[in-house]
Amino acid sequence: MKLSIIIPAYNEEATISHVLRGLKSKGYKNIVVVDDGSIDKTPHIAKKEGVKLHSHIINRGLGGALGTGIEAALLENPDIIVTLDADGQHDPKDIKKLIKPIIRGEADVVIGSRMLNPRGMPFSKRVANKIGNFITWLLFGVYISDSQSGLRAFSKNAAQKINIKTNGMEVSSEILKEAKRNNLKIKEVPIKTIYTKYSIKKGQKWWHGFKVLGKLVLRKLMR
Amino acid sequence: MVVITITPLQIVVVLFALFALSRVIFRLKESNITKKEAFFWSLVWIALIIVVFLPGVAGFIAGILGIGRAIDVVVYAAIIVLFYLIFRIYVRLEKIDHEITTIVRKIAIRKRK
Repeated sequence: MKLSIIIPAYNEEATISHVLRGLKSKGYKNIVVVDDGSIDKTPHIAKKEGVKLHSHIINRGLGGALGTGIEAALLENPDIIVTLDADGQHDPKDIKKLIKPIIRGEADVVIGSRMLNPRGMPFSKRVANKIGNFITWLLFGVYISDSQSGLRAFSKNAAQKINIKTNGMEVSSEILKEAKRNNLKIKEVPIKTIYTKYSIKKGQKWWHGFKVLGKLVLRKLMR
Repeated sequence: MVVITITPLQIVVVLFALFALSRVIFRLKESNITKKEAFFWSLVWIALIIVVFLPGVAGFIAGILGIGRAIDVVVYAAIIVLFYLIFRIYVRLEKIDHEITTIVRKIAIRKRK
């Protein structure tokens, strides 16, 4: 079972080495870091940790970075691809839980949901999350309790089929849309979220949602 | 006999429209724009010249559409055209954005560090 872990990172020098070491200590070695045009030491640190590093020459946003990560990971023919945030909010222990439904053949796409056990999540984030879920459901007909989660797992087949076109944060909804379009089985598993002052500060601001909404609606109109 | 009085505003608008029209032709010659685009823009500027000299045209259209004042027809038309253009620009920008990502991605994948 070959596993590939993708970490999109944009200016995450404060947390990236901790995240990478956490993964390596759990025995995950096949790590692809996509440095999304960081202007800090992120690529330097990632390289020192001995991961496969792909650098965007300019910042393209989360969707752009995830697309690059998936394309790069697929070159090595992994069985499963996992995406994980670089800000340290995910617990590497959850990866095992995340990939289990794929190994068992119960799902093609697994989303690690923070909302099945939302303790510690700030109230404003919970509200923003619910709105994001509702909009994803409204536009794409997929209801997921945490549509904006960064911890995901894909079977190789799913990763090949999902075609990422968006550049920004709207990619989370786009992935679900693509999964539905390709009749992939989606499953959610509860994950632990580590909320630190840093990850809250780095996280999406609530008004960011409006931008994402606008893009999603326009995209829907254009297709 | 119909007496047409020309106001300074009409002269300014027509001069501007003629200038814009000349730019359209110039850009078409340089093949910076397609024939379709040139046709669209020529139509816009010619329509403006017609409406400025023959305000009756706008009044006539207003009558057909059931819009009260002639000037409103011009304003509505302008807003519709503007919205359409903004939408086109948006679509175009999205496309360029996607193309930039494709290039950045190609470079990133080719150069593994």
